[in-house]
Amino acid sequence: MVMERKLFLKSLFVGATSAVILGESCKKEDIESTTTTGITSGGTNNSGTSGNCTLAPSETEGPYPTKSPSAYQRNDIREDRSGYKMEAKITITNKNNNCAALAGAIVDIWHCDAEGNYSEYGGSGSQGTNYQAVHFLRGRQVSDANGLVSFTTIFPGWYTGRATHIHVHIFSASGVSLKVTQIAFPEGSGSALLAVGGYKKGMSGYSYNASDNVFSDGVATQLANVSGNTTDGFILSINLAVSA
Amino acid sequence: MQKQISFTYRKLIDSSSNSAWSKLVFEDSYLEFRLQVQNFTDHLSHPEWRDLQQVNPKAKELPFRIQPSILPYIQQLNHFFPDITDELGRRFLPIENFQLELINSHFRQIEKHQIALVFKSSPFIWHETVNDLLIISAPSKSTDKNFNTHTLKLSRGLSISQLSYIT
Repeated sequence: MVMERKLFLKSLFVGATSAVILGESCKKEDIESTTTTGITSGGTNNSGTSGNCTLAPSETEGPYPTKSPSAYQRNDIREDRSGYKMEAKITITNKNNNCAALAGAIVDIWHCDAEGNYSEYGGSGSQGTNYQAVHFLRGRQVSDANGLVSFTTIFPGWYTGRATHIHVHIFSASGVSLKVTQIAFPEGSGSALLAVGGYKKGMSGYSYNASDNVFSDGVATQLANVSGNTTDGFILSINLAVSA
Repeated sequence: MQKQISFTYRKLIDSSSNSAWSKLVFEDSYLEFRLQVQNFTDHLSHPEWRDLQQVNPKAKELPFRIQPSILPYIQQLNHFFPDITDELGRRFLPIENFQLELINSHFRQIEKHQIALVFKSSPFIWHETVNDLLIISAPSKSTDKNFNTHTLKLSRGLSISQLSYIT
């Protein structure tokens, strides 16, 4: 129901207490109102404004929306997770363009924390701890002119049945999936994997790459280079080729 | 004995939503849906969310994966429910909890995209009801018997979802 201004003013004089719907001209475009109630001018001071409604203080104007990237779009994906700091540098190349760098690719990564738990999962048999409402260790970056995306994260933990890995999903700039893959970690003496030692879990029962159901057929194109140490942190780097 | 109540507001957002804020939430949640649904290989044979849910139980993760795309817009609300104002026209219900529901969507048809944002408030003391107006105030540890109150009319989509008796 839209009440014309003169009727509204009249209703004030007779002390009406029923709510008034703000007229179309009073609403800022950025307030979504299915039913919006409010008094458009205060008390008995009705002399004021000709034609325009008087808005109450800034709270009534609601949110001023600003286009914002997804909360996934961040470089540092650690949130509150503890673990050895690791810089992950992933370079995307295009097989269809002589393996030149692919700029503008949307790159999502996600991995488990030091205990082997993922965010956004949980409460079921596969992961007892319920992390459905949090988004740690998930992030998105867009590749630069050199095809590079960088993330600040932690060296991942591990869980039963899988070698340590990072999930990667690469999309074209228009959001079409180009590749879903996983990054594998080097093993053996001197490796970061052994230096980290599986965090508190240790390495007993760990599935190495050769017995991992994703990597057992070979990790040549998925094996990262990982340098560094537990004191100074690690640096992971890898090139991933897509057909774009 | 004091009665305390909390409110839940369920805001539907779809192709007919016309505020600038709702449009940004609509567009960005749809884009995120399109990205995230590609993590489920059967999205091509089942491009509509309603069908995908039936055939792939794992797809129930999808609403959680879409939520980060609109978190910046929730933050732009500056802690208060959108739309719901007191009788002075001020938004005042603090967001204690928020969740995104994915009602439907389609990989190629944005017009089918429909979500609901469900906001839950922190508790308020419910003093009285005058006609259809609730007289409420934020709980206080003070033993003072004077309260600064808000006057709130219940509207469609806004519900009293929790009631506690406090001695």
